[in-house]
Amino acid sequence: MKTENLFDAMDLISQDYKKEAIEAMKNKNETRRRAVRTPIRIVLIAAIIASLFVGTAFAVGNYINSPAQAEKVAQAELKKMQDLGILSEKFSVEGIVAERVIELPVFEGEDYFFGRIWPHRYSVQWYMGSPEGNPYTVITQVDTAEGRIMAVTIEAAAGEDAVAYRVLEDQEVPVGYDEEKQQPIVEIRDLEYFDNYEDIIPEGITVDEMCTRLNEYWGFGGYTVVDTVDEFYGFEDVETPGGDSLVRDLPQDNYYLSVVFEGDQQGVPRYIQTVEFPGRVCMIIGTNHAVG
Amino acid sequence: MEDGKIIELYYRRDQAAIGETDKKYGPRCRSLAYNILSNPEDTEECVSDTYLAAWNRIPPEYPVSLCAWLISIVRRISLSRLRRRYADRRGGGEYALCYEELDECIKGGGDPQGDIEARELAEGINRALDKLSKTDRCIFLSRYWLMEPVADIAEAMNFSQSKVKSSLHRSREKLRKQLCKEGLI
Repeated sequence: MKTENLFDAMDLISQDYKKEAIEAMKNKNETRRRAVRTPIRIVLIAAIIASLFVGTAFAVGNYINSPAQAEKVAQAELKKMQDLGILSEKFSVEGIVAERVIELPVFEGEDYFFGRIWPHRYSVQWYMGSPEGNPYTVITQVDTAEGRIMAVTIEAAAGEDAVAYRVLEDQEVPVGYDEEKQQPIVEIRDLEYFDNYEDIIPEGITVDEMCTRLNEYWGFGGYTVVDTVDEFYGFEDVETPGGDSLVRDLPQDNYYLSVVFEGDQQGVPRYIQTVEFPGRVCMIIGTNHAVG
Repeated sequence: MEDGKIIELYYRRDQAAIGETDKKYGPRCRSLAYNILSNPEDTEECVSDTYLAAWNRIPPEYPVSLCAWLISIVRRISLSRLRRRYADRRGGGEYALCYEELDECIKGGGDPQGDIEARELAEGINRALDKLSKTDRCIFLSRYWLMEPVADIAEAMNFSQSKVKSSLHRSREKLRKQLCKEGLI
């Protein structure tokens, strides 16, 4: 046996013993540690992930300068998006305290990040969604310079009485993780999918209407729907939906709609994506998809 | 933020999960990686790789103890990087010292049955740990699982360094006997 085997086997010892050791070392004086350089790569990784949701190139100053202010602006801007007919008027976050407000730093992308720039912004998030109570989950990214929503994710759980339009029977669903066996704990369940899009977007809204309204909201000079080619993340290059297609009918599997707005200094497409999860539907409107 | 909330962020594919993980467990992960690698750049890369692994593995995984789960990942990645860096065992840092110390446990054991399954070995180690006092067990795991320097263990547990060293010596001897008795070495 090699000594390496002992080290590797250590990872499989009892969780209780591991916790004991972690607890015992809690009192270690971390300030005595040698200086480790700023975790730049962590920021970079966060930015890759951020690129799925956010981005614009206009950041020049911080007009929103506190989390409380960001929350109020997000509430007002969501209302504006509802008034413009981008989002369904069925939901409201007015008077509901955001569960999380996170400040996100400026990040100037390198070629590694497809040359994109992420401005200073706040992520304001409301997690309310359940079929029994308020069914919505709303996550916004607010540009502190413009005071506008750069990206929004809105999700609605189907009501208790809703009828599933698609059921996947006997699916393995991970419900936990077995540390000893180092594998997920799964249960066999039926997964029910609903099409309650009217809870998140105006009924009957087409691709053209959605893009026109977003164009108005963001203040650009027009738009073009373009093909999505995203080999890196495995999104499919499917035929671009016509302008009169319904947003609710956007393809589901590995697809997002890419839209180039005139005057968008970012120079890359923004995107609209609809996603159906078991029990809920979701729409993501964002800037700078990872590849675009 | 509670672990459950952090995991919820991963499940929601919310980028804040990485930041919250780093805020809560970054220092510990960095400390462990540095103890193994003795190199700030490699340390950062391993910690970053750990977060990326966490992002890719949650979901579907749902760690019962996020801290222990992350430590296992960062430890594995760091050891793997070190082994790649040095084909021989002269890696430097705490790993090299830990290696020398644990090597005593299996010296002369040979490898008559080929590679032993890691799980079987882990069970043997668990049984040896069962027989240690809680204090000795904590010292042993702080040294050989968390790869902490003796000085740090002594400081954290308010012991002298010589007490920590003698505890480690006793524990290694017990481990060696246990593994011999079970035919694992």
